[in-house]
Amino acid sequence: MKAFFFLVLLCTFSLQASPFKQMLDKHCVECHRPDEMKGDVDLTIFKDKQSFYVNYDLLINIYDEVESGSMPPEEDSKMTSTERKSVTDFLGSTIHKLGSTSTNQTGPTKIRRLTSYEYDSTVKAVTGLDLKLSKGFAADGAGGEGFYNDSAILGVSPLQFEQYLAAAEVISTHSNFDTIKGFSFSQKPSDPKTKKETLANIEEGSNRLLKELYPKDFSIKAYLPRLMLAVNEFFRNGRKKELLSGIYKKYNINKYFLARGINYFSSSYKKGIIERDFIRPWFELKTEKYDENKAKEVSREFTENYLASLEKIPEIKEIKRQPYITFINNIKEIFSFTDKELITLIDKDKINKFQNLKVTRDVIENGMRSKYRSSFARQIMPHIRSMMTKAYRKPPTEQEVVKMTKDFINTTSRFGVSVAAKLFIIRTFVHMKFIYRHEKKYGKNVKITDYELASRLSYFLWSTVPDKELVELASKKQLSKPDILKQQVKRMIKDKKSSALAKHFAAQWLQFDKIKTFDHISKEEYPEFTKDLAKDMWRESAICFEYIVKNDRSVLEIIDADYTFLNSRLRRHYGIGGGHSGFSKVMLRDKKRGGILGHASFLTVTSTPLRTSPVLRGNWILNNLLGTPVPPAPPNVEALPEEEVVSKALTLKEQLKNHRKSTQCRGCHQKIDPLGFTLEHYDVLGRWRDKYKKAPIDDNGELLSAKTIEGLSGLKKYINKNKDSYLKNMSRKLFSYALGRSVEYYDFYVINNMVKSLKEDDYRFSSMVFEVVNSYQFLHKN
Amino acid sequence: MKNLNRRTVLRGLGGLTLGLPWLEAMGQSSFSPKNVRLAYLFFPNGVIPEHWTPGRGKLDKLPKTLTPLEPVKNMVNVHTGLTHPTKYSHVPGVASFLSGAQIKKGVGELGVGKSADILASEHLGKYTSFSSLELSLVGTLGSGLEHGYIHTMGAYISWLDKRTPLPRERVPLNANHRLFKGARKSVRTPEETDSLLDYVKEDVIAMKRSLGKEDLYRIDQYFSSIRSLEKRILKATKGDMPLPRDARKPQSGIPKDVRVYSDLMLDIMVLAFQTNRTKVASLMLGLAWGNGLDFGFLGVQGDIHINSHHNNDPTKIKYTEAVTRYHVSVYSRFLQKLQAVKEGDKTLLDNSLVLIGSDLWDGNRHSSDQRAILVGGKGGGSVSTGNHIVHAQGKPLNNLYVGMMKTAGCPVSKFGNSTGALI
Repeated sequence: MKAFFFLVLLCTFSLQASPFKQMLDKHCVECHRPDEMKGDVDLTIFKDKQSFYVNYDLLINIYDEVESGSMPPEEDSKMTSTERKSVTDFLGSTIHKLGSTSTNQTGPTKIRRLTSYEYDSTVKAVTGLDLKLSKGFAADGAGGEGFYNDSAILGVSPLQFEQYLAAAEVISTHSNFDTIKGFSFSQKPSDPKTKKETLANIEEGSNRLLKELYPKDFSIKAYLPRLMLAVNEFFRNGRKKELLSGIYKKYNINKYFLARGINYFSSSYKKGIIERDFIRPWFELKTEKYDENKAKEVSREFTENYLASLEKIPEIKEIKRQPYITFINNIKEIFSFTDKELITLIDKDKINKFQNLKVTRDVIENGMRSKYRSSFARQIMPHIRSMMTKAYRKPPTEQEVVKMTKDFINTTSRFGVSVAAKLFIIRTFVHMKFIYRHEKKYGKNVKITDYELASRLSYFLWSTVPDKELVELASKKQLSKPDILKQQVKRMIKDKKSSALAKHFAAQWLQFDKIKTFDHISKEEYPEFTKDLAKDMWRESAICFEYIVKNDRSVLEIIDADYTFLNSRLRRHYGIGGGHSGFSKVMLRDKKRGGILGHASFLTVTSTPLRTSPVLRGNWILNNLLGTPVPPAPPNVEALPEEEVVSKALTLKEQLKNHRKSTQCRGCHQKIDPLGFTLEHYDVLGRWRDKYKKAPIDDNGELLSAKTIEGLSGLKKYINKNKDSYLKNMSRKLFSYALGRSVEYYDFYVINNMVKSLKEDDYRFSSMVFEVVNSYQFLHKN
Repeated sequence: MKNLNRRTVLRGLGGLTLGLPWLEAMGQSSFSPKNVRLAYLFFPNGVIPEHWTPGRGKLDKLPKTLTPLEPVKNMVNVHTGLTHPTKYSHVPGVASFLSGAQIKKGVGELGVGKSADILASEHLGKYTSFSSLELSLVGTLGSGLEHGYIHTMGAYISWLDKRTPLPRERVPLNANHRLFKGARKSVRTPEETDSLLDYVKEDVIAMKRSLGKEDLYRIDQYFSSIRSLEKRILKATKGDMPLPRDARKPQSGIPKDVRVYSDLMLDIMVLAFQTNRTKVASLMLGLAWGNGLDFGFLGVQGDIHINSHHNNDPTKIKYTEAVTRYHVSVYSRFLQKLQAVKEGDKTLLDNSLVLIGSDLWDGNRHSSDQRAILVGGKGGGSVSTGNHIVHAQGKPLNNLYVGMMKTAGCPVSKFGNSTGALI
């Protein structure tokens, strides 16, 4: 239905469009054609219906230019007022129609890798360690509306892959693995153990566990003779089962040892040739004339023979060894425990440990051929699945887990379990599902899953992975329910993690992210511009934005507020007294500050090394606040007449005024310069000044309309009067940041709705966010 | 199957067939790279034409800005009159410098395009450890837009495709390690590394199943990146030559003195060429507009971009000319360093083509109807040098890029709006 309406819409206006096109041909394309491209604009592109839609942004630009009278330029213009009206009428209604129609298009949803700061916060969320590994990464580029998180630009080059691999390598050194407890991460890095070391450790571990079952003074030398006496007593008294408990208490012999001893010393037990010789004296002890001393002696002799065999074994030739080995094993067997016995003897935890060691050893020794392969797999699979789930930010497929487990077993048998675990960690952290934000694709305009929604929300509002609550709601498919979604967005905005919006969205939009590394200010002239001061400037802007977000205040406070946040250094910088040393809210008594335009961050990044630049400041306002950038300076600008510039008497304002005499320059500079001039009371570092080079400051900016903007408060009023442009530009920026892509023509519908919602809801920040989050684009993928 | 051994191929494929760029290496047995190295240098803000343009024909008395070329002037050609389809300057002027594309306003795909160095490296880089090397003295311009152009465009000359700028090494020691220290991490045994990379590749291939068509190029990109590392680890390229004994290891960090800094970067490029680690390199000496480098040693004050729009102010002209002359001196030093390395009966400079250029022609006037271009080296012997070549207005700069690639043996006949090849 909507598509049909859209078609109708296109058809109807294409009829009305031909007079408009004639008008363009008549008045505009002489300059704005592909080989001329004045103002970087080509107006021959309106060829078919779709071209109007696709160039929605340009239509608005034309409308503004023609309506304000700045285009066509006076000296070339033969455009009558009737013609002008017909153009603006047509454009006005077209813009309205196109901008209030949803076409239900998702737009490109390319997979994109994490930005450097998302990488760090994601590693932190997965490992619990703040490793700040992205310090070693190449800087990110920005795309779309100027944000680092733009999907078009976030690919991986060979250099970056190497950096990711090196970072994953570091993460792996912080990882530990235990077949029972799974993966953990620790601040202290550790090297992996080799296969040989691991096997030795397993041996030691097993022994340690078993040792607990034996008396402290246990040795076969001491226990074997005692056992023989005990068995003899049992035999002597008619082999009655009820005697057993008395006997093993009397001789202090473990009942299992006794049981096996009885078995071994019974005549029916198969014994080797030599041990039969050794044991004969024991059998010959006469029961009716039992002589305890004799019995002791016989037992001791037997034990000595056993110990001698143990010692002799290495010297005996291979072919003659077997009888001795049988003997030794038989005796050893008496004093070891079967699995069944172990279960009843030690607690479950320890038995598991023991079993694990046994299994691990066997898997290391035999790999996929190990008889314990599947029990090993059962053990490690949950750990592997949970690690993958955390790293991929959603559950892996069963197939992926099975494959990963199989590879884990293979690498375990090749390199030992410790290396296998580290390799698995490295592999996980260079997996595209970790490095990239990944959504499963199958078709056009498909609704995203709840997990994907959780991820989109958390990377939008928090620049990191979804928290437990989001994941839980996603796993129950609750998150996408409108009321729950709204409630979660509210919660997320209030959460302290939403400071990411200030640190990343606002810092990039309002460009204060440049201040920390800004090195354009002359160090000789302005030694007071220290790194610390720069950091404070950044913090003032960030905290102000964060305050608006967390308290869901009006976004107009970005432009004008009666408060700001300062620490003692910035107070001194601004000449505002009192207060704490740390950052705190300051109510402003005069109109010299308040809002981004009074922030030192903005005022400094728009200065040149030695002086302020009204051009850069004005341009910044057009670019970042009003969203009406002027084109770049045209090629082959006429230089100003030499004598005029050289005469030093000219103030900057006069110089620029001359500049505007040039028809080439005027079009743009009459928009830029007046805005910048209003801020002349603020010096290179944003400090208030009453004079510049001993002359009083003139902070009036004369607009094309002959109206004058006076100082900062005049500028704020001017922007407030043009708040539609400001709100629209901000909405456009937020939309682009949320979606991680540039704005397309079909997105203006959402952006217009964002502006509408802002206006209806006291300009609260959240109203704009709800609009984005509920947009077709945010909830679908391609 | 002669070019790559069987194990390499099997590993690379992971048992599956992917239509990935590196596979071309197997098919093109007819392609034999000549022993030519290509280097591309960039400096910002154009030139002052009257101090740049020498007399037509054989280079004799050099204009002021080009005086540093004196020791190598018989090895250089000055090209004037070459035009570029991107008219607007600075930010798009940087991105389009080597990509030769007409960059239009409007965001999204960026529309920059594969740059000439990267296209060349796809052919020349198959048999070297690194297909190309990207270096820069300067960082990026950060986030944001200017006049509707993304800042990113003003920070990169080397582009993998229309939307992906290639990050550069900025720290000399890091570049040195990457090139010469060996690809293997010391804690891993060779078997462990091999096994890891095999698995990592399998994972990437498996991604194919879950992604849309338009995302496949990301997988190709990722896969090629892994291959690029693996190529070095497996030593599939036998061409690496040992580092010369007297090669110095650079200091750590970024030197504050621009002269020391640029010299270190030049040394790295010379060594990379000399030891055959790569045949293609790019180096950015600045960004669109200023770049925060300190030119105090030239007696220059203020921002170099603001100075470049000098409006005929003599002081600003002096500053701008001095900075541009300094950039030419860096270029000249590079040529001299290449010339000092013997390769058989030739020098490394004889076997190279080294281009330097800018985003503009006359920086003051933002004019970009032509670009300031120098090309040094003999390209293996076939290029005659020592001239100022004045091109008819309208001849595309892209013809020169095609000419350089052809001279190096790349089977390339068309690049952007090129109408032929010139060198």
